[in-house]
Amino acid sequence: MIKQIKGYTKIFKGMKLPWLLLFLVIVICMIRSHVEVEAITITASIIDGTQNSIKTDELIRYIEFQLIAGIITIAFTYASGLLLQKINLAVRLRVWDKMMHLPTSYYDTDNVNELVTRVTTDADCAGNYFQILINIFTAVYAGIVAYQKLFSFQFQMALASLLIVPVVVGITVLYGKLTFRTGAVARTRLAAMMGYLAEHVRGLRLIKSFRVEEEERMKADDLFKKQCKADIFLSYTSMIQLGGMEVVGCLTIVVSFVLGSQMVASGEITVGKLIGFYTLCSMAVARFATLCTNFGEFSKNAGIVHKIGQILEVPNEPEDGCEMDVADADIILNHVNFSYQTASVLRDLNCSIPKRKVTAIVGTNGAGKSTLFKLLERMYNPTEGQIYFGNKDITDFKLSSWRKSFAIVAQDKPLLSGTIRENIMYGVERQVSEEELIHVAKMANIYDFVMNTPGQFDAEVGPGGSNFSGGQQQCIAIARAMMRNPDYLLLDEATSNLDVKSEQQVTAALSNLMKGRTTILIAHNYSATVFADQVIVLCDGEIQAVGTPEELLKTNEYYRTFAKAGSGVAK
Amino acid sequence: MSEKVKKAETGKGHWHSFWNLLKKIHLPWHWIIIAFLCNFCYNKVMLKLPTVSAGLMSGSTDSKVLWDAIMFYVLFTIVLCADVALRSPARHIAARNVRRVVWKKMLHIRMDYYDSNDPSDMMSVITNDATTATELLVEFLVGFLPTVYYAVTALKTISSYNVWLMLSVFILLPVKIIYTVFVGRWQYKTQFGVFSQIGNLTAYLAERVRSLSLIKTYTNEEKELKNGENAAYGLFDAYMQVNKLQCVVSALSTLIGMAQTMAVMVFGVILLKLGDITLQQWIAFFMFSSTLSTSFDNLINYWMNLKMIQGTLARTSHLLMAPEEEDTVKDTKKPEGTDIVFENVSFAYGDKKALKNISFQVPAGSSTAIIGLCGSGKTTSLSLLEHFYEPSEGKVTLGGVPVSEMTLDELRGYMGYVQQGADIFSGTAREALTYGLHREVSDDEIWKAAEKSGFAEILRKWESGLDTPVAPGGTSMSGGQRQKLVLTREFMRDTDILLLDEPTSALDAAASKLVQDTIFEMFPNRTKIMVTHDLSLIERVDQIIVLHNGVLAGCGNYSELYGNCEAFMDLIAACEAEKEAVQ
Repeated sequence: MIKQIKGYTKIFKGMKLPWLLLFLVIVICMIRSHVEVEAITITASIIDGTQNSIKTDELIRYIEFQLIAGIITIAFTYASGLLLQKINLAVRLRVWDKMMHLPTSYYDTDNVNELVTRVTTDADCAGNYFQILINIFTAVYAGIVAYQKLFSFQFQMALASLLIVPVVVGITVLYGKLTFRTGAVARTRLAAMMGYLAEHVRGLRLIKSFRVEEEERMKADDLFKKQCKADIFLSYTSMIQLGGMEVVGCLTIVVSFVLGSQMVASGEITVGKLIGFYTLCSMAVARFATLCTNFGEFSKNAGIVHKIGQILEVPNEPEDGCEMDVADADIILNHVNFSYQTASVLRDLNCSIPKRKVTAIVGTNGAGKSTLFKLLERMYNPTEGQIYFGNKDITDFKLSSWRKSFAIVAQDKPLLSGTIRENIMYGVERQVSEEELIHVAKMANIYDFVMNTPGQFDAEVGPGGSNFSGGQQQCIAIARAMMRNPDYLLLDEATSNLDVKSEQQVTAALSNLMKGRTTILIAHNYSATVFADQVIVLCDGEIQAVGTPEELLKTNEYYRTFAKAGSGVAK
Repeated sequence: MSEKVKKAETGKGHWHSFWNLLKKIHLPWHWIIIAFLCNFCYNKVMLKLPTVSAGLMSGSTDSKVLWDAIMFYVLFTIVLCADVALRSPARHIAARNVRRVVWKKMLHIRMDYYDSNDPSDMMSVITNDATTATELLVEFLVGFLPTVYYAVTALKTISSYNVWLMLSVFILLPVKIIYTVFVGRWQYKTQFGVFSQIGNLTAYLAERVRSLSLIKTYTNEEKELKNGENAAYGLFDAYMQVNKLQCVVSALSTLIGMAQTMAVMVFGVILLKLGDITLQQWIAFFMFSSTLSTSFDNLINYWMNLKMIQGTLARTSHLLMAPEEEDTVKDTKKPEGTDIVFENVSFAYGDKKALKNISFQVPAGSSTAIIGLCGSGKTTSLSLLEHFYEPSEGKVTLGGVPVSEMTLDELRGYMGYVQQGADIFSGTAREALTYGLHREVSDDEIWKAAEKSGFAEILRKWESGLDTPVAPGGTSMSGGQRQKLVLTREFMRDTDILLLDEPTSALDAAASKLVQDTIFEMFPNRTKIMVTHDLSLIERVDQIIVLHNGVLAGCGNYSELYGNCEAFMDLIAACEAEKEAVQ
């Protein structure tokens, strides 16, 4: 428990929290407990009153109290809602801020969809923390206030009714343990079903083609059945709470009325007080019951908060370093090693990437080509060895300054939803004139189709750019890279996944972009390497050969196969 | 149920279709009836509650009253638990049955349905919609009539005390109905606002998190931070709307509750003073009035839920109405040989023409490549051959028999299918390799096939061999390994025709070459039809079919087409540069 509380407080460190509001909510809670108890007392005296005659002043007081109770409830609803949402917002913003500044390597280890939930649903859970604390506090406070009143009503009866409290606690603990277990089973079963469906819904064509509909139906049936069973079982456990609370209700009656009727008979208390006692006692017991649910809730949230805490603990990307003083220089790799977790990805890379030249990297899938790009962009740091820019280690430069001199055009998901204009201007801080935009669009081969699209530059590209074809998306990405006007250009198989016609267009746009820049490209076909000044052959994380395309055609086996495969048509 | 029938007869069309839908989803009627009876008992017991409590509250010190009360509470506990407990199987089994029916339907629906409805979106029909709808539905079926019974009997009891008392209960009913409808609408609106804001935020985050390296490369963190903050503030505002609504709701319900208490009290006190009722009757009436008001609330809610069920089930009902792939042919015709002929075939997705008057032949045992730009109708031709779609004109025949005159089992039994980014479901390697084989396969046979494709090498590297778990979509393997697995599977399936939809497009040059070789070496005698972007494949095939915007632009082998077909020349133009470079 203490460990959990520590985990909670850690994530709120450095967050601006609405303390005043929190204080206000607690005060309202306290007032509410008193009003509730008072209202019951008044009811008791009214009941006593009605046995003789109706007193209007007591009725008016009753109405007054009801009104006050109503107003307090409204105030509480509003204030606590506001508090909860403000805290949720603070957590969300904090996590999002952190996510923007985490090193990219973090994103490889965690599932992307899961990271999204950190900001959405998980942040809500963390915000609940204060809600739960307030609930626990209120439960305790209201319980105490209620019992104070009970003791003032009748000492022995109040003492007897204290015996009910351990029963309530016992039932709630039992219930909590049981639901935890059955709940876990139900969740696993649900997850299994969802996993199955998500996977098979995408493979419907294959299922039909193979005529295995019946088999898949049976498999799903089995999963549905299991899930259904777990759900039913889970709802059976809720009976323990339900039945238990009814038993507690019975006990309250027994204590109140068995003892009470004797007291009434002997004239020690009035009927009104007896009824008041009963009502109040039921309320106090109910309060204690919520205490236990809140503790359960607390531990349930602790796991989620732990996950948020983990993110917040990861150090940010460094922001210190010097500005870049020269526009371009040769990039030199000096004994660069890189391991991803335990797997070694790049081993002892030594080469130089000359400025204002085109360097092509070829190699098999998984040879480490994309990883090399990530090292150049400083998304990762080499495990061993250094990368030099001219004669300076690249880690000496300020990260933002370093990255500003790069632009990347990669093979998949190049666009973000928004308009074409927003995509082209992405990351550009200066003012851009319409003429410049049109010039860039023409250079990137997109001007014609943009003009033919309704809305032109303000047309929406759709999620992930899906309103446009692969080739068009790629050309917009090229326009974006041009707008950035970088000194270094990284092309990661920018033309794969395109059909021949689009590939030509993209290649034309690319050659405009490459003019006058240092270009490093990962090539998947031979034609892209022909014009390179230098080709690096990367195999299994090691540099196998470096040279001009002509040299390598003579000396390197892999490059020859690569050339043949890429131009098989042209024998 | 009789309620439902009555409503269906009121003439509204959608009630009729709603009723039809209910028949289709196989509700567990026996469980519902049991739960219904339980709920009935519960309501019957509930009717006694005010009298018993009144006995207690009137301050009677008689031990019999007390004993009765305790007995009553024990009975009440049992009935309450039974009511809740027995409702749960009814609800969950109903949900399960809906899931079954929907999934079965989804498996058998015609492919063209999925062109306009993304199957991934349809998933929530099985998961969320089924749960929500059946919960509300069972609640309605089980609870509606007993609640009516309770309300009527309670009113009768009150009127037996005094007729005027009964009438006083109705005073606030119109206000309540207006309140529920008004608040319900408002609630729907604010809830909708929250859902769409959550949707916005999630969509925004999902996209940005996936493109994080882009954000970093373009050093645009600060701007994205601002955008994210705006989305978070949007959600905050939406939640605050809900909060405000809650305040209004609690204010209104406090007011209405108070007005009701006042009415009941004042009315009761007057009658009490006049001596028309006893104190015990007054207390009983007091308690009845609050439970009755809950009953009225419930009845109003039942009515509104009924609408909600219809709304929730709208997609389900749309799905269940979709046409299925039915075997209209009872006695399938056996094709003679496996020559494939497309005769003047046209096809359109809705208004969009995909294929226009296409004719070609694929002789048995030959290899054919279908090439063309994106959207030129290549994959559509394969789908027509597998009879996923019906051509709008012309016919597709296999061995002289139109594919529409064969049963789907017969027809698709001839076809093997390999896809871009191979389709592999999670499970063990053995399960993935034997998927769709419809027969027991010995490990020996699997190993033999795996040797042929080279997958055996990979299998041997894995410690658990055939029992190694395979991740969903086969993502635990490289693209080349996946294709090898799928080719092994096809080898064992031993079909006459192999359809390959861009088998090499996700692979690098070396892997692509390897997979090509495997295809030609493993399946020398099968008919191979491959859709491809990979031009290096086309010189190995016997026949090339060039599609351009749904029109057959050329058909022949490489040397026949070279120089004679403009679309073909366009497609290989990109390779010219390489040709020169190599020579």
